[in-house]
Amino acid sequence: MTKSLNRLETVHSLDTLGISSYATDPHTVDEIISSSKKLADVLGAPEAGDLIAADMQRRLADLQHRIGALPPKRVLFAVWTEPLISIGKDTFIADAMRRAGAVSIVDSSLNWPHVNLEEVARLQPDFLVFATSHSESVPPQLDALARLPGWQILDAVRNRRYVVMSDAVNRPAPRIVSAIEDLARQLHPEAFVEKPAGSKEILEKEHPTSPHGFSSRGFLVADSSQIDTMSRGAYLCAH
Amino acid sequence: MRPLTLRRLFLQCFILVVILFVVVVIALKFGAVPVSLYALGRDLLRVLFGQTSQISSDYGLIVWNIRLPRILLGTIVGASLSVAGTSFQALLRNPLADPYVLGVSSGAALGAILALITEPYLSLSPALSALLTPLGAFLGAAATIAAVYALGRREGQIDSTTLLLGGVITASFLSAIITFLMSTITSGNTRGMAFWLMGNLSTSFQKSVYWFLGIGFIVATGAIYTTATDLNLLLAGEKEAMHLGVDVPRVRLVVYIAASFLTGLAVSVSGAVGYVGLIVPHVMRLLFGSDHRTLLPTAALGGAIAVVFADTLARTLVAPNDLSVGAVTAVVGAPLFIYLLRRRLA
Repeated sequence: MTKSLNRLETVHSLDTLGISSYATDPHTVDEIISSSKKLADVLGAPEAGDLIAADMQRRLADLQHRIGALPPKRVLFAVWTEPLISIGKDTFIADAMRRAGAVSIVDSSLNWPHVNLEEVARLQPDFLVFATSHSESVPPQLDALARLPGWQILDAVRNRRYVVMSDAVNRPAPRIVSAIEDLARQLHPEAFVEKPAGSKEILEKEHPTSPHGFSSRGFLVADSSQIDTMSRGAYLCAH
Repeated sequence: MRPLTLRRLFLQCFILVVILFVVVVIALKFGAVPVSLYALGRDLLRVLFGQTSQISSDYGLIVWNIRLPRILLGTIVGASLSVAGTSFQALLRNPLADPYVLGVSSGAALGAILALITEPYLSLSPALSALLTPLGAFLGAAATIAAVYALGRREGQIDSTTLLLGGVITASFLSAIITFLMSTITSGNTRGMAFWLMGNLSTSFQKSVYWFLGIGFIVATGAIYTTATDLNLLLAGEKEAMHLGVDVPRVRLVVYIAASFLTGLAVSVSGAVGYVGLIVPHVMRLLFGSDHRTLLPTAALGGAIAVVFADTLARTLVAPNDLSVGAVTAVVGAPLFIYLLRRRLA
């Protein structure tokens, strides 16, 4: 259970009922990783915890490697639009944004600030980010938003710069890494142009007459399809 | 009651219009983005002369696309709630009647939410589905006031304590249903719970919505105004008014429908903003007397002033964040309600 939504009394009540509990309150992605690991320890499966934590760290490091040098995109993460509720800077969601190469324009120490649309128009985010569990149902709602005079003055709305991401970003659990990757791909597509394709050309240029050209190409294609399946698998997990 | 002259009515309304104008200018000036009075005046003149294309700066757009529509919304919501409150007070012969206190606002909010939930299944044309929310809010308001009226009757007479108690219980019951619906329905377009229960004016609407609100307000208020002299006689009691020649059932029906419509109108765009219909008519009665021929228009203007001012506070007190305007009106309104209640009991 999370400390921010539950009370200490609940933990005591569970204790008296003989039900053991584990409470956590992560505010950053790193804290989510360590809390996942701790949870696995508590559940008596430390190896699985180590595995998950290592996987999360590896994927985040890979992401950092791809987009770390790129300037972050300025985004507005919209929890709700009526009224407009966003996220504060001390939430794990804000940290997840930073990991995905984005920075929230809302600089509030509240967890769920009710943001004034004027302030958003003054700061002009590059992208509006929405998190949803069913990505198909969102576009009509966004079209409706674009017809409203108040929202029309946002450059991101005029240019239709919306990002719809998995709502796994709202849960302090291992799946958040998939959501972060998902967001990073949408915000920084240039960093995800499949390297094998690029390196393949280089390889071909380097070894135009190599007798092993076919096999090396075959290997690379297999490799990239493997990456595809992996990311699709992660995407399915996220849903 | 002093005899009413047209001149006095105009003078009273003129004073309030001037105050409303000043409040609107203050509301236009203050906000997350600072705007100078000079720039405001220059842009205002350009709008008046139809040169809107010359307003190109971002700040100008913020003022005209966000701040002004919000002020307009506050004007109509405040005027509607205040006229509805005045009408309910006359109809129920209870000075503490108010759409929010009696649960009518919660009923309207529930009606609007039900309309938003059913809308995707009805496959209506866009124009019709836009009208569905205010219609749901109106039906919710009308059903609630009918129920509260029935609850408040004891031995054929309206008992004011029972009426208020019935209203408060109805409000909390309906709010509970709203909370239940909001926690179980996952459909994305029902707006947030905070919107419906606390009331706020931050939502941006299409231009046609403002026209609909304005025309709806004028028609409903006009209908209530035709009964103004009858409402004065109703203050003496229903039987007495009937003896004096008032068609009480007709007046009751007109005022009941029009006031429910006004409440539905306000709630469908702003949620449940409380106590405006209570405070403003009281202040106007103190200032200008209780003749409904002056009370109705002054209450409308006063309601507009009160809500635009309260919303300016809601926008600026915790800037760049927003407060719910309902929180501001409740902080002022609830203590005043208790004061009025105690004075009545004393």
